[in-house]
Amino acid sequence: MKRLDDLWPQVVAFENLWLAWRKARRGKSRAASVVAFELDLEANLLALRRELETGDYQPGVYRLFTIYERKPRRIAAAPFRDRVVHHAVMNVIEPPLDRRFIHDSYACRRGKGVHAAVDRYQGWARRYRYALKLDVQQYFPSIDHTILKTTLRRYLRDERVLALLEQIIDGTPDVSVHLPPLNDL
Amino acid sequence: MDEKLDQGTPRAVQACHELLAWLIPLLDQFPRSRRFTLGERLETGWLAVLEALVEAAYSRDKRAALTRANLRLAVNRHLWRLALELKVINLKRYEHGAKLIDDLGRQIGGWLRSRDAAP
Repeated sequence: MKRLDDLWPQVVAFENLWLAWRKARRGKSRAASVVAFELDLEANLLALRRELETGDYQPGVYRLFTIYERKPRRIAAAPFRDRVVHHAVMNVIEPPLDRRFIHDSYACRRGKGVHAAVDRYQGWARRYRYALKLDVQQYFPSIDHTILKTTLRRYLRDERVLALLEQIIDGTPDVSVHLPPLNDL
Repeated sequence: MDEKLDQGTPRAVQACHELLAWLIPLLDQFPRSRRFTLGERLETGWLAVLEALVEAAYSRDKRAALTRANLRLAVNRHLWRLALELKVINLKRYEHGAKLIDDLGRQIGGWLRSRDAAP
């Protein structure tokens, strides 16, 4: 497969940043950080664009918290302006990258998800006598950053996009949850 | 021409002037239902910015006038965004306007911070 190149101009195009802002605010339009960003929307988008162009862009600090739905999860929430940047990159790289995924990958993909995965599993379960039930503990937090970066490099050629992605990956806080072993309780 | 204006026609005045020269013909293309409401507000709003800036250029204490210009500019920026959201202008036009507005805003900010405007 040809490695994708010349993506950077698409990433920093004003139109793309505008679209990224629209996506980032979805469902959050009343959050204080979103409202603050929008008070000065044009200036903020243009400043973001300038910083990305000059390489001065620095991601902010993640807000860490834990939710206890079903099981404890550490959540790292990026500041709003960083989420706009995340969407700006994803707008450009997601469609071509998603096509390289195997069909039966169901996490964090458009049109996929738990329900689609269960449907698929049930279809297979009816056909076969055995099923391997397996869970990768802490899958997303445990992805090796170096491997991830190398893998991205196999698909992307655009150095500026890669640099931005690496900056984002390096800035990701560790959200793995260390469950106490049972005998500790 | 007045010497005072000649030697240092602050760039903000010029930028605002150019903005208006670009904007007003566009406003005339607004549909009637918007030309006399939103369009009118934009026109008066930008004229007010221009007035405040010219006033600042000629007055000793520039702070008050520049602050007023800044405030009107912020209002106009929101009206401009509204024009996009109401689909009176398209994204390309909005982008161009937003850039002009941003440049102007930064020039006014710079002027405010300069020694020229110190109280």
